[in-house]
Amino acid sequence: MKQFLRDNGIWILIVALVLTGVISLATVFVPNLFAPVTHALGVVATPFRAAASFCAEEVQAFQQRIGGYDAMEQKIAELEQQVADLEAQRRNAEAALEENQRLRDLLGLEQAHADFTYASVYVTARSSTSWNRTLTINKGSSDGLQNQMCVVNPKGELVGVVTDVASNWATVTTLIDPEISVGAAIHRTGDAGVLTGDLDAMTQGLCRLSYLSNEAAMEQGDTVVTSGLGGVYPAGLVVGTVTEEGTTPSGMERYAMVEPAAELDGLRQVFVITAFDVAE
Amino acid sequence: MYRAKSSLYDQRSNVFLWLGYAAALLLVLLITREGFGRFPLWGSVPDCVPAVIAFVAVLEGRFFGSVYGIGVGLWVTLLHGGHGAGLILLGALIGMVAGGWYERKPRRLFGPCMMSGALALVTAAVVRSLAALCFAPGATLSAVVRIAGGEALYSLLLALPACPLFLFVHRHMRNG
Repeated sequence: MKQFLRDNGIWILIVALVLTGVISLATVFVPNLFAPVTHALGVVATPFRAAASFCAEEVQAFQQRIGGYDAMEQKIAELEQQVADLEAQRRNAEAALEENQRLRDLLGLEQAHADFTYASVYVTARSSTSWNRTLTINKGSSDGLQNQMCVVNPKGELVGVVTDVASNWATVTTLIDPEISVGAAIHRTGDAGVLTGDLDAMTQGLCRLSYLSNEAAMEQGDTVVTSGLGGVYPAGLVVGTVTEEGTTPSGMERYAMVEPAAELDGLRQVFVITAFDVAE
Repeated sequence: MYRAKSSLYDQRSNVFLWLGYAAALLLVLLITREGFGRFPLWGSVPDCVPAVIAFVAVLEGRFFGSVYGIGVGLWVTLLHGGHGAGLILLGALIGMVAGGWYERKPRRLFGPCMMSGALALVTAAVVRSLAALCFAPGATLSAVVRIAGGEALYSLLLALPACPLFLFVHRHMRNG
């Protein structure tokens, strides 16, 4: 080893150190410097990802067919009960809507509405490392996708946010990724905070609603929705439910641990909100 | 002696050999990240890159191993938009240390490859854990150990079938 270091090893070490230092500093001061290279490599990798994704899905489907029959029967029974409950709620809601419209007409108020434009996309890959939770989807800038667009599942529950866009693929940072940052609020009380990433929470499949005021009143089971503050993300998208609440060690603010409503592991098809218009 | 040394250098500078190692690396990455990456174990996905660098270093020596480590580290870093540049330095160090096996000229290569691969995975896990404790928000020791340990074990399991692929390239493509 000493002979090797004397001969040419020391130069190899110096080259490695210089490359590491230059790239690390470049990433800090010019964040998107290597984006063209990353995007180009991703464009080349996309067909291979799609093929690997197809094979992996076939294996998963086979697994579910073999091992999930009893679970599927139980799920069917639960869903039938849910459908019956929802039918009853729908009938009550129709009556409430009619009364709501009568009162709005009486007071001369316009109907509140939220119009979303969706792009249907498929998940082609999941996190490439164990230290983050991202998804790769099969559409990009050529399909109108841009950074900071929200991504929801077929039920309209928030999955994450688009954070990197190439021509034919994009990266979605999910709710439990340590790098996430989305404005959110407790639906029942309106207390607003910021949904932030947390590595410890990520390992438990949770995310953290931080920067809540000391007076925030929340309970286990409370629904958390996007707050829409700042206008970047639409308001009212379901994020998840509160599982635990607490106060930071400094005592200055409160936080809540949130279990995402969307099941992030088995996602195949998601929808990107490419445009939204909310009127109150 | 000079001619013999030159002939050995020619074998290792055979372009087909290095194309073979590059193709093997791509295949391993495709299968582990895009395939097995969909089936996390203990919440972790596999990353066999440190083990692959160690395999090549054991087979080709310190110099070529560390250059291969720098090249692979640089490529993976660019794939991630410049993040994780520490893999370049780690790749060089893995190549330098694991390449020491080449000088001992072991009769059987699978054992030294797997031992070096395991050590490389453990080293990468320790380095990533320290980086996460310093820079990742909300990182606790238990979370970091869980993620890094799971990743190292999963990667080691997949490195077992990956090693014969590199041995195949070494045996069949070395003479050009």
